Amino acid sequence: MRNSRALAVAGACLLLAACGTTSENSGTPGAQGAPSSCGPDGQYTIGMSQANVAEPYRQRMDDDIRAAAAAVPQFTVNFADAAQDNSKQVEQVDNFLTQQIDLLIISPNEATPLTAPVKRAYDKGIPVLVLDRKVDGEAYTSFIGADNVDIGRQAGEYYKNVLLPEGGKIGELRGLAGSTPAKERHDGFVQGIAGSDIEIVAAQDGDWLRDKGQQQADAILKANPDIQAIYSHNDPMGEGARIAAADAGRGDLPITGIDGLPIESGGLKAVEQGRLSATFIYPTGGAEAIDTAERILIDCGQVPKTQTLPTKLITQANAAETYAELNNGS
Amino acid sequence: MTKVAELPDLNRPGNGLLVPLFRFQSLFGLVLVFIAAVVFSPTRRGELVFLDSGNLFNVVRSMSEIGILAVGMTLVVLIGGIDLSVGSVLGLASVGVAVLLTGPGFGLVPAVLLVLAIGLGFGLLQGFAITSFGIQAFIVTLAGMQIARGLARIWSGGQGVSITYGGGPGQAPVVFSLLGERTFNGLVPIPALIFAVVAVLAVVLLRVSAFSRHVYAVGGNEKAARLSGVPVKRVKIIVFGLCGLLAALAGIVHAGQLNFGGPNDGAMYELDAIAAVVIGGTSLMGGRGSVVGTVAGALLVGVLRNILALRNVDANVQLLVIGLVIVLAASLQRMRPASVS
Amino acid sequence: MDAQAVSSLVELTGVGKSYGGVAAVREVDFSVRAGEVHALLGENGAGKSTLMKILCGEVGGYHGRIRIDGDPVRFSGPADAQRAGVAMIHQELDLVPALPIADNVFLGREPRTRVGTVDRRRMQRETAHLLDRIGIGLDPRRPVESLRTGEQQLVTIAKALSFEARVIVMDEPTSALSAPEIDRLFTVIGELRRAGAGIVYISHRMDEIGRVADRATVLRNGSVVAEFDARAMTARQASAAMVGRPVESVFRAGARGAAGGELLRVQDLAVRSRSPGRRDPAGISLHVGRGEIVGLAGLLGAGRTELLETLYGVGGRPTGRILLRGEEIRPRGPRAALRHGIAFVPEDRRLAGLALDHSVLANTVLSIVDRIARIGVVPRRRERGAATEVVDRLGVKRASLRAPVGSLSGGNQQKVVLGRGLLTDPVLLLLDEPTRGVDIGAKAEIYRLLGEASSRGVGVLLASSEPAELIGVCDRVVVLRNGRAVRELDTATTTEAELLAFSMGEGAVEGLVAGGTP
Repeated sequence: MRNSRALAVAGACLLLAACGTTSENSGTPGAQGAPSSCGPDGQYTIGMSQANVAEPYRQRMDDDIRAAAAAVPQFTVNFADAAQDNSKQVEQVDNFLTQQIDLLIISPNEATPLTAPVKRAYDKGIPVLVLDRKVDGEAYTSFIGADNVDIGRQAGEYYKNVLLPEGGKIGELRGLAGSTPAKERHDGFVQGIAGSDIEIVAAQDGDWLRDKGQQQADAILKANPDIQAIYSHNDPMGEGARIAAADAGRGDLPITGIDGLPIESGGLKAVEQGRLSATFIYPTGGAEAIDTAERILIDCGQVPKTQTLPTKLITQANAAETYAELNNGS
Repeated sequence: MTKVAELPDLNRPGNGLLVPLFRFQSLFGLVLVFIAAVVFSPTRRGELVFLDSGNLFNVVRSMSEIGILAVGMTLVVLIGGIDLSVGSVLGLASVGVAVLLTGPGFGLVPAVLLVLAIGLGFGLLQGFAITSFGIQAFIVTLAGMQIARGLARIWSGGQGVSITYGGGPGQAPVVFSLLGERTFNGLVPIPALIFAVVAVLAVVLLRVSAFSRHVYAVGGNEKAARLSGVPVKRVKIIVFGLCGLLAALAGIVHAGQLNFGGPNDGAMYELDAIAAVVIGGTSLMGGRGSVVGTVAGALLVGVLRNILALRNVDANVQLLVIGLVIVLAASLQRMRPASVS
Repeated sequence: MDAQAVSSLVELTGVGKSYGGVAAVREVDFSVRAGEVHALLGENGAGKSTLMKILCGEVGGYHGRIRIDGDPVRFSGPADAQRAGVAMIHQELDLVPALPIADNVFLGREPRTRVGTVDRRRMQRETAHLLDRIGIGLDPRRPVESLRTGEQQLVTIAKALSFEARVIVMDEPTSALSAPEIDRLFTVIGELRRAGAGIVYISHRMDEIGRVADRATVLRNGSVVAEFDARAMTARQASAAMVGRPVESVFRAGARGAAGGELLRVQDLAVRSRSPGRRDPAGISLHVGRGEIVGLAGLLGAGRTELLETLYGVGGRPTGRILLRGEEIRPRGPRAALRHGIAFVPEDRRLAGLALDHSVLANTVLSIVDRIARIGVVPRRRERGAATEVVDRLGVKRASLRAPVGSLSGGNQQKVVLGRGLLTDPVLLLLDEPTRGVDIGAKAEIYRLLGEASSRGVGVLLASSEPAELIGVCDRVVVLRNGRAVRELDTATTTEAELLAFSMGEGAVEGLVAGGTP
């Protein structure tokens, strides 16, 4: 029968697969999270697994890593982008493991789905640096990120003390549900406005994206025409909200964001040019990650479990000078 | 005796060489891509990374969910339809099984059965809408895509549902975590086994059953099938039901692998499933094609993605390559002489 | 008249074409003079379509020469041939069903306004003129799919006329036309002749060839085997040349009449019609006995197809009674009808009868896969056995079982559809134009099968627009007009003229009196 020929060919392929080489654990496995070899004489391959390069913040994170790694001759960095798909990111981490990278940097799309692959890497002795978003459990070498709860709280206090001291109704544009920063920026904010007369009357998910932010802000403004400000979890959503506000005839509605990227289309410029009332610097941690990698792979040293990066409030007063500073700095 | 009417070259016995090429186009393609992957594979300590058995099984594992979806999609495409909702149903099912297992009172078997029933029911409803209201499959399943996504978000409360294992409250039975495991020496992933079982069952079904002849007939010429006594409406509804059932199964596997029920998961998976079906040689017009081809098509896409990733090819270029392969496969389909079926 | 003295409009010399080593056309000389109708005959597979496709530019890679008005030409494609004034009317209507008549006629060459948009009004006006010329008063805005097959065929003729071609090839142009429509067509052909056009007329119908053609050429196995004066040619001579041996009478001889007992009785069958294109039964009563072959005659649009469909459970719900073997039945669809023992062969085998890409085997057994399956599984051997048995009985080559049914000739395709119905072991056969587009050899075989079936007690209800076929094959003929049964005729005593007359109406019957068989 013609189809049995087909099945035979398929069977042959599977057989070939089964006879493939097994080189999972060549070389001496290091202890959990500690590399099997280190030192200034080696060449090291680093895998960077990004959640979604379409977000400008994450593109900047990758760029920061690229720039920092360029200064380290022993490092080669391979980048992968999961485009917001959990399964894809798991697959990409597994591919990195197949390629036997020496260190993994990851900014996971969502915490739980990426916990198992990160643990797999960690248990194999590959150091893992987690950037910006967390995974569950403790199976990683170091977490590098700003304290989102703190940023949220500072934002809340800004609203309480400066923006709406009399209180009022506001809208909230949230990041992708299920990502830790979204939860934390919300929780911190609520702490920050405690005791004031500020009320969040509408909240929608903008998924960190500008176009989604605009759509949701449109809806919020239509349903609550009397809100007095919008608290956006990041700058792109805030920019989208600005367009929506202009369309609704509320062009001067106070809108704040978070990120403060020092790029042409970033939050610093937006505040300087008046599109956002204020923002908070949210460092990408890219340079710090390479720094940490150097300490692990080249200096064979130890690193702390958590590295918290600092933040800063940006208003029109200091926007321009901060932009210049960050672009001339390291 | 009447002489057979004039025919173009390819139907004559002398040109038999080309015929097998078309018949097994996806298998040939798979072999070609496999060989190319071996040739282009990076090496590590003297060994071909691609041929590492862990890697090869990763490839199969990564395509298992799409593969299960594609088997269901093959049936739908064979009757000349399409199902755009499978990705969303996958998401709905993954949320469903996560919520039920971590919630009170649901054991493993009832939870799985209920979620499969939801997928089956969803598919049957779509089939019913298509046959009884005469709305095109594209439109009905497009709506289904949105509805399933919405249901997934509502059921999960907008957040992903994490699954932890153990005996305590809010924990799923440890058995379920098997889906993330591998057997036989720690090599063969369970999802791949499930995919293989589904594929084999489908191949067998499509070759021996009376139902399969009905399916092909409906795709080949629906009017003629109806006049020949084929219960066309019933066949269509069942096919869409099966597709929904398989999408739910894929969703359960998905949740087990990620330990997570994500309401946004599975987005755009239907396109990957359709790509596997097309590359496998099944015609979108209906009436021609096979599950064997689809399986080969899915593996082909998996191998391709894997080798491109191992060579660190930019993600956007990867999309381009896969798109070109789809176009190539579709044109081979068109050039195929009518006698090859 | 010396053929060479009068110069030809179109001349093919030594034309040959092979496919993969097998010659479809061999050294054919064929010419058409201005103002001439030249008939072309041959069995399916004899090379007629290939030859015409070469002439019309659809097929290239041939050897030999084509001359138009004495100038050698070699067309690069059908558009090229059209520009040179050669047009072809295909047997398979190449119309776009969803588009209106006017759009179909001017497809690809729509008249434009000054701004560049399509000039719909002019298009519709010119289409109306063309339709007028052929004598049908259809609204050019109507979508083609709402027309009956005969009307669609006339639209393709209008389309060819719109090309103002000087050479027109007509392939079975009358297969779906009624007698008055055929008359009208012949009038148009007469006009074209007077205007100096040359016409190639491909047909199986001897009586038409005798009426309209000047010369007749017979092809067999790709070569010209005979040329006749069309008016003097007899059916016997033509058949002999086509087949290469003397041919018995096509129609069955032998016992006629019902074997005994009533099989089907229809009383006041009526369906409330909902679609404009249908002529549903409006109160029909008839009966068919066991082993009896009853014909359904009538003009296009009389309601023959609709009656058969209603009996098969397709179409609207009927009022009235249908009694099969004494029991009242209400078939609600083809599945139910098959279970009662009724099988149906539809009018258009390509559209509604077969899945052309699928194998002969698959098509043949489709109606019985359910019956031979055990717990849903179809035993391969039984499937194959059933198909082989039918294929042998029908005279189709066993080797073709695996071939796609679309690669078979029209006659063999029709046999497959018939065979599928026969496999269900029916008690009543409903046939709608079972020999349309079928060559003589296959026709004879189909008639033989019907004869065998009827001698086994199967009742047959056969709708046909060929009076000769009705009289030759059936025991009785019921004439339908406007959805009603107006007359029943005994084929032993009636004539084709009488049949036609009753189909057309009372006035035509009186006109018969002057008489003589046409």
